[in-house]
Formats: sequence, structure tokens, C-alpha cells
Amino acid sequence: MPDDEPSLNIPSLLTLAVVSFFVIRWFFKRDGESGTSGSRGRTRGNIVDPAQVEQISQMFPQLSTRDIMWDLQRNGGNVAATTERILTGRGLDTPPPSFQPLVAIPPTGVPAQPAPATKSDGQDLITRYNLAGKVVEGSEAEPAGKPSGWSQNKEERQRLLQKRRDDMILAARRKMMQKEQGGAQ
Amino acid sequence: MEPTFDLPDSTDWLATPLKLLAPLESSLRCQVCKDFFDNPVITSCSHTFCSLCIRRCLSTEGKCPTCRSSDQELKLRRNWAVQELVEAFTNARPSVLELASGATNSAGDAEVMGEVNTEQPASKKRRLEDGVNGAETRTEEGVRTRSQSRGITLPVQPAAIEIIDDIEDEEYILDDGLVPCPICQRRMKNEAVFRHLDTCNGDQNGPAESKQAAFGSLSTGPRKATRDANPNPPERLPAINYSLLKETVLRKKLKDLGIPNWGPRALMQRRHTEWMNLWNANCDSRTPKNKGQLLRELDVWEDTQGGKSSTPTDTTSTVMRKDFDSVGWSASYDTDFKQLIVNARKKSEAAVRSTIPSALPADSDEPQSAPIVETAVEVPTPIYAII
Amino acid sequence: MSSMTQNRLFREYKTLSENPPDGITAGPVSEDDMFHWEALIQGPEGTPYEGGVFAAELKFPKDYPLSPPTMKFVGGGVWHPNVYPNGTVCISILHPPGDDPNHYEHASERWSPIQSVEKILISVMSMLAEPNDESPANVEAAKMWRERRSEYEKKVREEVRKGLGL
Repeated sequence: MPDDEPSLNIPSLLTLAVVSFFVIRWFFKRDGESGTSGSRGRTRGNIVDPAQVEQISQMFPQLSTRDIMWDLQRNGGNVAATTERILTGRGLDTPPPSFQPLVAIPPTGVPAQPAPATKSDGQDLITRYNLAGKVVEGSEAEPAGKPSGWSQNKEERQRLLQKRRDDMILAARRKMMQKEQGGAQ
Repeated sequence: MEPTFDLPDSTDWLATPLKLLAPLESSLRCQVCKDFFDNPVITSCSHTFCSLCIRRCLSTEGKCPTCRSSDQELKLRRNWAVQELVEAFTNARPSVLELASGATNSAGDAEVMGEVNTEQPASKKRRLEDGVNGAETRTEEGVRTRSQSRGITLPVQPAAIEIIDDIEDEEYILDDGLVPCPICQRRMKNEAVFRHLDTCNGDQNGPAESKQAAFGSLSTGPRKATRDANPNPPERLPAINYSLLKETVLRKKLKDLGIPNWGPRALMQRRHTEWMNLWNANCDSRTPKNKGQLLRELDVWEDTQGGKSSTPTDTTSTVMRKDFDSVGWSASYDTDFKQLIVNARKKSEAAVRSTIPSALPADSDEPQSAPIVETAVEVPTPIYAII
Repeated sequence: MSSMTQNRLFREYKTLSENPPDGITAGPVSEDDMFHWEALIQGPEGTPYEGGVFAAELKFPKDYPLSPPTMKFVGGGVWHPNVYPNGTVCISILHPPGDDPNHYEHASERWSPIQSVEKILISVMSMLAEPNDESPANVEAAKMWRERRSEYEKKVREEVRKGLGL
């Protein structure tokens, strides 16, 4: 060791590399943590504060929570920055497939009021498929044999599909009515 | 699509006595496109797909669709055995299917079945022959017409589709600019035919050879000629790490490749990936297409998925998830929003805050979408307000 | 690719027509647009959904089967923990492996190009039978399912009847 001090040998190079690796790593880690100090979040590694995610997803319910987590994780849990980013129209980046958020949003993240079920298209299948006529006429008819489902002709195929749909609904309806009559007696 | 458009499928066998052929056929089909394997390749996890299908899957996800183990494009290897199976099966399929459905409908008419049986396997050869001298009339179509005239109803369409496939094949073979000798079926240059005819003795080797080629086993005969005609097999395109390339470099690269280089960066990346998949899959082909054909395929991609496809690409798509029911949401929270607006107005009168101007477009598709939000940065709980 | 996508959808349509699984009918609304399907699913037996028929629409992306379709129950939706109030179905097979909004899913249960419409519909049937309340799409329904099961079943039965126009 003492005599070839000036020359660089392989062990010392290795040591240098390892040491500098740790120094750089520590430096960046510290940097990342200091960035978060402004907000209430504390990020250790990949952990995202579920409360922050929920806060943002309440503001922007149309965004995927995964995107929000990814953005929060990258900016160190800075809610304001993420909000700003969304509002300026830049949108959130799609996280890489490998991104696995460590914290799940508690499933009980209920919105302030429970969403009333939308009744906008609360029509039944009979009205939807215009089966009112068939309900009356076919109430006593037994379903025919299983129709073959395929044809070489486009219109014929469409008709067959329609028929199978109608048959399925009407058969279910018939069965339900029979069951109810059976129950009533 | 044509009114009578149909595709052969493994379920074609279910209506025949040969139901057990359905699983055989579906195992000869690619799980991704559900078509017969086209240039089958095997992954490092030993699953077989069409070359193009698996390349597309790997370039989107990097995983085997079947077992989801990670794989790389470079590890794909040709699966010749499967290719030969597929070729042999597709060659035999129309005649077997016809025979099978004939058996369903007329078990008694043994004469026709015998006829069909003996004639079908060689039909392709005969059609080649017809293409040249037009003398023979005993084509596959002829057989079917006769069968039908005897009162047998056959499912015409699946067989017809196969014929189209065959014709495509045939066109390919004819594409090499060679013509077959009308006597011995050997393929040669147009000018050479007459000289050859003087010496041709119509030996039995000729038809046998062409039959083998028609069954697509080893590439003897016509296919060999094509291969010789193309002495330089195309070189594979390497994958690019797009993040290392500047936009101008990428644009130039596309230009060098001879493919369109317009559009934003993301589109160029997707176009390059598609081109790379098309190109490298073509390298796996025993009968590679020329660049013009590949460019046409790229055009199809451009029209349906690339820059010419009509996708709603406004800014809302980056902000709004597609399946989000904005109308339902704004309807159900209407009262809440109004309440919050009132609260916010009160508060904002009390204090002046710096606000971030919203960049949400005014001409957004959903005028009723969730109200645009202004937020006060320094306040931990954001304040909702409508603009 | 488009012709590949359309051919594949057409083959799936054909298979589902010629050899349909029990209690499932599905096909394109019109063959002019193979990317928009409608499906009917029977409620599985031994569940409150038994006897019902549920209509859903399936929308396929241009790059199907690389990406999964979306599925939405139509005609009043379905009261179920894993179905959004607007009818959109939230089930693992409809999520691509990269995208994981519900953290309970195993990658193997998610979308892959080898899945199919048939497998989706069968999965939805079994979802009706066995709700997953870990990450509900309909919080109210999940709560009711967990805490007031008889009320939940009653509500579902009523909706089933209503769906059939009774």
C-alpha cells in the first residue's frame, strides 16, 4: 500500500464508486424529503398519504386515483402542486404499469352525501325492446326449440340475435309470473 | 361489410358429425386474433401466437398474454411445426368440412361423397391449371354445383371463404412473374414456356411436386423460386428508446424509414412501433411482403388507430376520464355545489386571495360537467367556486 | 389492425351465437358497428338476482383485444356493490393489468388479449353471485349488502321484477 500510493488500483476505485453512490443517494433522498416539509404529507419511499389522495379526488372525482397517487408521489405529496397542475389543464401523467401505490384509499371514502341512484333511464326491458305486444300474445305460447344462432345472411343474423334476446326476456318473465302465481296459491 | 360476410371459425364443425374437430381447429388458431396462426412464433414461456399479434402485445405490455410472464420481442422464435400444421389443416379444411356437412345431410348419397373425396385434395392443382389453359372444368366449384343439384344443401359460405384464401395464395404464387407449364406445372418465365414445351414430356414428377407445394410443406417448387428472387432477406428493425430521442431526430428517423412523419411526438412513437411490429413480423414470414404492402397496412392502421382515426383528442380527454359520468355527477351534487359556491362567495368577500386561473377550456364538451374549481393555494382545504 | 379487430369481434359474435353459454346472449347492436355490443345476462341461480335478465352495453376500443372493452348495465342499472349507480361494471377482468384502481386484484384476474366477451360475461355473472365489497363501486349497495342483507336482497328482487316489466 504505501509504495504505490499515487496509482489507482481497482479496490480503491470500487470503494470510491460505492461511497459516491451512497452520497448521491442520500443527497437525493434528503432533497425529496425537504420538498415535502411544506405540506402536511410525509413521504417515506413510495407511501402516499391517503387523506391527500382523497382530498384531491374529492375535488376532481373524474380523475383516476392511481394517477393522483402517482403525481403526489412524484411531487412529494404536494397537494397544491398537483391541484395546480390539474387546473392548468396539463393533466396528470399516466403512471407506468409498474407503479404500485403502497397505500390503498380506505374504501369507506364516502362522498359527503350518498349519491342518489340515477334514474335517468330506469326503463324496463319490455319497453326497451318493444316487447309489450309479444308479452300479451306470447304469454301462453311455449318457447320453440332452441333456434340455431347463426346464418350466412346479415339481416337474418340480426333477426336471429333479436329473437334470442326477446325469447330470453319473455321466458324469464313467464317463469317469474308462474313462480309468483305458484307462491300466491 | 357485405350482407353475406362470414368468417370460417372452429364452430363450423359443431353442426357436423365431426364435432371433435372444433377443439383441434381452435388450437390451431391464435388466441389473440382468433385466426389461424399467421407466421407463428413461440415465446420464451412456450406459448405460440401470430408473429404480429405477439409483437403488438409485447410492445404495449411486455408480457405474454397467456401467462403474463415478461418477455421480449428478441426472444421470439419461429415455430415451423405449427406453421406446417396450419397450412396442412387449412388445405384440408374445405374438403373435410364439405364432406362432413354432406354426411349430415345425405348419409345415403355415397356416390357424391366418394366423388368429393377423391376430387377435393387435388382441386387446387386443377385450378392452377385452369388459370392457364382453361380446358378443365372439374373445379371445386363444379363439384359443389353438382352436389347442390342433387339436392344437398351445403353451407356454401365457409368453403367459399377458404377458396378466397386459396386464391390469395395463388395470386401470391402467380405474383412472382412466372407461369406454370400447362403440362408439367413447373413454373418458369413467360418467354421460357414455349421453349420448355418442346421438351416437356409431361412427366409425373411435375404434378407431384406442385401438389406438395400446394400443401405448403417444405418450400420446394414455386416458393423456392420466390425466395431465390429475393436474395436479401429484410433486416429487422431495432427497438428504439424513444425517451432518448429528440423530436426532430425521431421525425428524421421516420422519414428515413420511408413512413409518414407528421403529427405530434406521441403519434410518431406509436406509428414507429406499429411499423416496427409490421416489419419484424414480416421478417418472420417465409414469403415476405414487399414494402409497398406493408405501407398499405400501416395506412390501415393510421386510418383506424393512428392520426386519421376520429378520436376525441381535445384537452378534456387529458383531464376527464372517458367513462366518467359527468352529467350524473353534476346532477346528483347540484345542491352541494350551489351551497359551496354560496359559502365561497361569502368567504372571498372577507378576504382577498390569489387564485389560479382555470385553464379548463370554455368550449368543453360537457357544459354541465363538474363545476370548474378555483382553489386558494395557501389554504389547506380548497374552496369551491364557480367561474 | 382494424380488420384484425373487426374479424376477431365477428368471430366472437359467431362463437357466442352458435355455441352460447347458458344464460348469455350477446352481439353487436348493428353489424355496421362491431365496436358496440349489447348483452343480456341471466341472474345466477340461488342469488337474489335469480330469474332476472340484465341488459348491458359493451363498448370496444379501437385496439381491442389489446385493451379491454367497457361494460355498462342499461335500463335502470343493477343494485350491486361492484356496479356504479350509472350502471358501469367495475370488475377486475375489465381492467388492463397496468391499471389498478382497486388494489385487491391479482394481475392474473385482469384483462389480457386472450380474454373474450364470453369470459367477461361469465365473470360478471359470478360477480353478481359473489359481490366483492373490498372496493365497492356503489358504496351504498355495499353497505347494505354487508349490514342489512335481507333489505339488500329485497331491493334486488324488486328491481329484477321491475326490469321484467312486472
